Amino acid sequence: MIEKSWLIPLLPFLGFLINGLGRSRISKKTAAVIGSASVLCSFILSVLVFFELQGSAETGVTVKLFEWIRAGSLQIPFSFYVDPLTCVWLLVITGIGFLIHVYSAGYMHADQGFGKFFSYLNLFVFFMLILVMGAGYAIMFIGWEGVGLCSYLLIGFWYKNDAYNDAAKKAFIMNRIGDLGFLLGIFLLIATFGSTDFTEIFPQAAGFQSGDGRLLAITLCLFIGAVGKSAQLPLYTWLPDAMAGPTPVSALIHAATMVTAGVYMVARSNILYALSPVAMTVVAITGLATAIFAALIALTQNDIKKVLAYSTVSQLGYMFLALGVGAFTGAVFHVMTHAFFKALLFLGAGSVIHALHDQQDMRRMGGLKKAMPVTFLTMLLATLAISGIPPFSGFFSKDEILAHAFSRDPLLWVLGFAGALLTAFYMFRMLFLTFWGDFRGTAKEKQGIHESPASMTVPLILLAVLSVVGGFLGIPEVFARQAHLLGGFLAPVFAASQEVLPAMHVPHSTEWILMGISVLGVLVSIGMAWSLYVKKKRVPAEDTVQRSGLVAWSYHKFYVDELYQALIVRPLDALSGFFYRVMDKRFIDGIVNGVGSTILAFSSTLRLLQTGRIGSYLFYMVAGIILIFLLNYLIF
Amino acid sequence: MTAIFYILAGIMLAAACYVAVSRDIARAVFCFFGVLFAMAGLYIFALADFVAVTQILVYAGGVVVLMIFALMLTDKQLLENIRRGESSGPRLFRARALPSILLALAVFAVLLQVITAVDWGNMAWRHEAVAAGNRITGHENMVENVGVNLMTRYLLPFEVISVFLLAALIGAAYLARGRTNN
Amino acid sequence: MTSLIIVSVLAVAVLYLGLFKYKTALLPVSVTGLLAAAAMAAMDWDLEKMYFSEMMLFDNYAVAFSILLILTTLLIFGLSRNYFEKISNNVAEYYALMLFALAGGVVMVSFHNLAMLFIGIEILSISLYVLAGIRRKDPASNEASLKYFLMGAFATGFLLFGTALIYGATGSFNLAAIASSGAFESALFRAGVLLMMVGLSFKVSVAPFHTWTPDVYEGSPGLIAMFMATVVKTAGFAAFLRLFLMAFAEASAFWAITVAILCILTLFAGNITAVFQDRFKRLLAWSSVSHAGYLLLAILAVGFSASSAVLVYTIAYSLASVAAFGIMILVSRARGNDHLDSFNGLARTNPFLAFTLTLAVCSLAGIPLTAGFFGKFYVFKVALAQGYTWLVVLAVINAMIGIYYYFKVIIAMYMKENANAVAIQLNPGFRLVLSIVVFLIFLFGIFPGLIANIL
Repeated sequence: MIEKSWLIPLLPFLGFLINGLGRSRISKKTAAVIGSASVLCSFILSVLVFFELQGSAETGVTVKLFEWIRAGSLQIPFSFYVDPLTCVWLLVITGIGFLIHVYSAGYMHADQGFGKFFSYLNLFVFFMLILVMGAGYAIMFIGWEGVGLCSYLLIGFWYKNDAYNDAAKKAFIMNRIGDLGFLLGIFLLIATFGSTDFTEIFPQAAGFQSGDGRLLAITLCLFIGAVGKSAQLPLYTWLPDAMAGPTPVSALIHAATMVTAGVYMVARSNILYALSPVAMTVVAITGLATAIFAALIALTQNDIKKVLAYSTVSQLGYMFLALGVGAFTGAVFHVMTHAFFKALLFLGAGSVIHALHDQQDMRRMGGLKKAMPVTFLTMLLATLAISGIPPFSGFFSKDEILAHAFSRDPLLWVLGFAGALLTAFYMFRMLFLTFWGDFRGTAKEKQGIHESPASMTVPLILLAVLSVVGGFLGIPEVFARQAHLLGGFLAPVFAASQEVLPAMHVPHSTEWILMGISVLGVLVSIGMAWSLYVKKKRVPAEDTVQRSGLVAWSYHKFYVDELYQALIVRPLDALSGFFYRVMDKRFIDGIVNGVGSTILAFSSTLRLLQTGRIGSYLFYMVAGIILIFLLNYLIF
Repeated sequence: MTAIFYILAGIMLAAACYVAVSRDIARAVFCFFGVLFAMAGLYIFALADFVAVTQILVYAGGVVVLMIFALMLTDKQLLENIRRGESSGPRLFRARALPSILLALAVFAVLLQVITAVDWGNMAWRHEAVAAGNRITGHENMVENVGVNLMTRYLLPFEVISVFLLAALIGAAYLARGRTNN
Repeated sequence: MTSLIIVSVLAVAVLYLGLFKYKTALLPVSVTGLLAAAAMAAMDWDLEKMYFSEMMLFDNYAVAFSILLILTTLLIFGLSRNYFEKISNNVAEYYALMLFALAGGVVMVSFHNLAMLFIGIEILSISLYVLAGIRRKDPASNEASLKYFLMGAFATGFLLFGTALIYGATGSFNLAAIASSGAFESALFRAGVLLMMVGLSFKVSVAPFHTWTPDVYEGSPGLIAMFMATVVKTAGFAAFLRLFLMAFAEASAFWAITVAILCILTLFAGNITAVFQDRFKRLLAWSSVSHAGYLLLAILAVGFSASSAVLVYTIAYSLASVAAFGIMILVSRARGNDHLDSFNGLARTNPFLAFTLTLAVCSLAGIPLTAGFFGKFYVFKVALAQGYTWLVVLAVINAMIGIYYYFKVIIAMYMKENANAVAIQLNPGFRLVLSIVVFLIFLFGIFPGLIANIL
C-alpha cells in the first residue's frame, strides 16, 4: 500500500479539478459528496498506510515518482517519503479534513460559492498532503506555497468585503516574509549537503559537530519560515485577521493543519536542530513568549473567533516550546490533540455563529446552553481538554511538554504553567459568556436560535470523542510503563536526535507534584472565571469604553498592529511613494503630465512636443555610463 | 602635414560646437556639412581614402542634402517658433544646460583617461601584424582591398545588410505613405 | 543558417503576398514558413557549423535560442489574426517587419563576429522602430516610435564605439580571436567591454538604460509590446550572454562587479516602480525591466550552466508574457483600457482567461509548479554557485515584492466585482495559443528537466 501512497494526495486533487472546472454545472449536493468522498478515500488509504508501516520493520519508505530537477550535480526527484511522522500528519489531515468537509456541507449550504469553496478546500488538502509527504525540502516548499495560496484564497473567500481582502493580503505578505527564510534555508541546504532530500541530508548532518555554524544558519532560516507559517512572534498578526474566512476554514487551515506545518518542518529537521543548541534555545524562547503573549491578548477579546485564534497562536507557542526543549514527540502529540479540540472548538463556535445568523460578538450571546445542547456539551469537553483537566487529551500532551520544559529549566516550566492558567481562564470565560447567563442579543435573534443540522453536529460529536480519548495515545511513564503508544511509534524518527540531546530526567515524585500543581492551578483559574462571569454576571464593556492599564494593552493586542504600521508599513509606503513620485512621475511622466494629467488626450499631444524628455532620458543614460566608468576606475 | 591635420581638426571642432549651440537650423545644417567634410579629410590622414570618399558621397552628398530637403519642406512658422522660444537668455551657457555641459565634460574626461591609459605602441596584435608584413603603407589600392574583403571575408555581413536595408526601406515606405488611403 | 535564409525569404514572400492582395494567405504562409525555419534550425543540432569565414556559428546554443525565437513569433502570429486588420489595411508590412526583426534576432543568437552582432541588432531594432509606430494616427504610437528610435540610435553609438575599441585592443572582430588575444588588461579593451555592455543593456532594458521601456511599451500596439517583451528580450539576452561567454569570459573578474551593480539597480528600479502602476501594460513593462535584472544574475555565472539558466528563464518568461499581454489586449479592447480595474470580475465572465492570466502572473512571479519558478530557481542557483549569495538574497527580496504587484491583477479578477462586465469573445487563434501556453507553463513547471538539460 505504501508504494501507492501517491494516491492519497491525488484524490483530493481530482476532487478539486472536478469541482473547480464544473462548478457551474455540478449541483451543491454533488459537489459536497465529491469533495468529502475524495478526502474520505484518502483517509482510508492513510489508515492502510499506517497499519502497513506499523507492521513493517522499515522506518521510512521513499516512493519515487519521477525525476524533477537535474542541474549539474544537484538532483531533486519528485518523490514522497512516508514514515511515522508523515503518517501522523496524514491521519490528522485527512481525518479531521473529512469531518470538516462534512461540516462545511451544512455550514455553507446557503452560500453562492459552494462549489468554489469545496474546490478550494480540496486543493488545500492536496497541497497540505504534498507538504507532509514530500521526500525533501523542495517538494515540501511546493506544498508550503500551495497551502499559503489556498489560505489566501479562502480567507478572502467572501471577497465582497474589503476588510476580508485586506486580511487575505496581510496573511499572504506575512507568509512571504517567512517563505523568504525558508527559501534561503533550502539554498543553504543545497550548498551544504548538495541535496534537498531528507534521506540524503539527515545521515550527513548526523556527522556534523554540535554547534556547527552552517547548521545554525540553516536552522535559523528554516525557523523564520516556520514562524511565518505557524504564526509565532513577531509574524503572528495575520492569524487573528485570517478569521475573516468561513469558520470551517478557520478550523481546518488556521487551527488543525496548515499552521502546524511549521511544527512539522522543525520536527522533521529534528537532527539539524538537535545539533544547533542556539537554534533550539531560539525556538523555545520564541514559542514560550508567543504562548504567553497570545494568551494575554485572548483574555480581553470579545469576538468568539478571535479568542480561539489567539488561543491557537498560544497553543502553537507551546508546540514550539516543546520542540525547543527537545520534546519532539510531545510537540507532535500536542499537534494531534490540539487538532482535535481546536477544530472542535472552531466548529462549535461556527455552530453558534450559524445559529445566531453570523453574530460573532460574545457580548451578544449568553444562555445558549439549553437551546444548543449538542454544541454546548461538545464545546465543554473541548474546553476541558484545552485547559488540561485530566483525563482529557490536552492534559496529557501539555503535561508532557511542561515536564520536558521543567527538566530543561524550571523557569520555563513556571512560565509555561502561567500560560496554562491564562488559557484555562480565557477559555472558560468564552464558554461562560456564550452558554451561561441570559441571552443578550435582540429578540429577533433569540427566536431564530436552533441546534445545527446533523451534518454539523455529527462531526462535533466525533471530534469530541477524539478530544476526550485522544490523550490515551500518549500516557506518560509515571502512570504506566511503555504506555506512550505515540512515542513508541515515532521513536525511529527522533532516534538520532535523542542520542545527541540530553535525556529528560525528572523524578517521578517531582512529576507527580508538578502535575498536581498544574491541575490545581487550572481549577482555581476556572473558578475565578466562574465567579466573574457566572456568579457576578460580568459582561465585557463595549468597544467605545476607554480601557486602562494592562487591560487596555491586552484589549488592543499590545498595539502590535499599530507598531508594524508605524515601523514597517509607513516607511515602506513613504519609500515607494518617493520612488513613484521621483522615478515615475518626475522622470517619466514629466512636468507636462502634472499639468494635463486629467485629460489624457490633451496630455498625450503635449507629451509629443515635450522633446526635452528624451533629452533627460539620454542624460540619465550618459550619467549612468559615467558612473560605471568612474566605479571601474575606483576599483581597478 | 601636421599643420593640415590641426587645421582640419580645428574646423571640425569649431563647426561641431556651432551645430551644438546654434538655434538656426539652416545654419546648423551647413556647419554639419563642414564637420563631415573635415572628418573626411581626417580619414585620409588615417590612410582610409576609400572611407573618406564614401564619407563625402554618403554624408555630405546624401544625408546633408536630405536634411536640407526636410528643412525646406518643414513649415516656416514652426521653425520660427522654435527659434523664438529658444532665444531668451545668454547664448552659449544657460543655467538650464549646466548639467548637460558638465556631463559632456565628464564624458570627455573619461575618453581622455582611456586614451592616456592605453599603451599604444605596445599592442600584441600590432607587433604580430608588423612581423607578418600585414600593414598598409599608403601605396596600396584601398578600394580594391575593401572590395576584395567585402566579397570574401565579409561576404555574409555584406549580404545580411541587404536584409537590413530592405527592412528600413519598407519601414520608411510604410511610415511615409500618404494618410488618405487608410 | 538555413533557418535564417528561410525567415528572410519568408519576409519578402509575405511582402509579395501583400502586394498581390492575398491577405488571407498571409497567416498560413507565415506559419508554414516559420515551422519550416524551426525544423531547419533543429536539423543543425549538434553540428556546430561555422559559416562564411567564421561569421556565424550554429552551435547548440544558437539552435536552441533560434528555435525559441521562431516558436515565440509563431505564438504571437497565432494571436495576430484580425489584430492588425483593425489598425490598417496594409497588413503584409506588419508580418514582413516582424519577420525581419526575427531574422535579426536569429543573427543575434548565432553570431561569431562582432560585425554580425551589430548587424543583427540593427536589423531587429530598425524593424521595431517602425513596428512601434505602426499605428500612424495614434500620437502615442508615433511618440513611442520616435522615442525608441532616438534613444536606440544613441545606444547603438555606444555599442559601435565599444566594438571599435575592442577591435583596437585585440585586432579582430572574431569572438574566438578576441578570447585568445590576451589583451584583457588593456584600458582600451576594458573601455570597449563597458561600452558594449551599455549598448546591450539598453536593448534589454537594464537600469539605468531602461527609461525608454515603459513609454515605448505603452505607446506601441499590444502585440508589438508583446513581441518586444518576448522575442526582443530573449534575443538581446542571448546575444549579451553569448558575447560575454565566448569573448569576454576570461575578463569576468573585471566586468562582473559592474554587471552585479546593474543587476541590483535594475531589480529595484523595476520592482519598486511596478508596485505603483495601475495600468497593466505599464506594469508589465516595469516587470520586464525587473526580469532583465534576474537574467543579469545568470550573466554573472559564466559557464554553460548560465546558458541553460538563461534558456529556461527566457522560455518561461516568453510563455508567461505571451499570455499576459494577450489577455491584456483582449481586456483593453473589450473594456476600453488596460487599467487594473478593467480586470474586475473577469473570473466570473471569463473563467478561462482569468485562470490563464493567473497562471501567467504566477509564472512571472515565480510561484512553484509553474515554469517561471524554475527560471528563477536556475538563475539563482548558477549565481549562488559563483558565490553571489548577497545578490541572490536581494533578488529573492525583489521576487517577494514582485509577488505583491503581480497579485494585484489576480485580486482584481477574483475578488472584485464589476456589475456591467460582459464576457469577452475569444477567437479560435487566441483560444489555441492560450491553451498551448497554459499547457507548456504547467509542463515545464512540473518537468523542468525537459528544457533544463538541453544545453
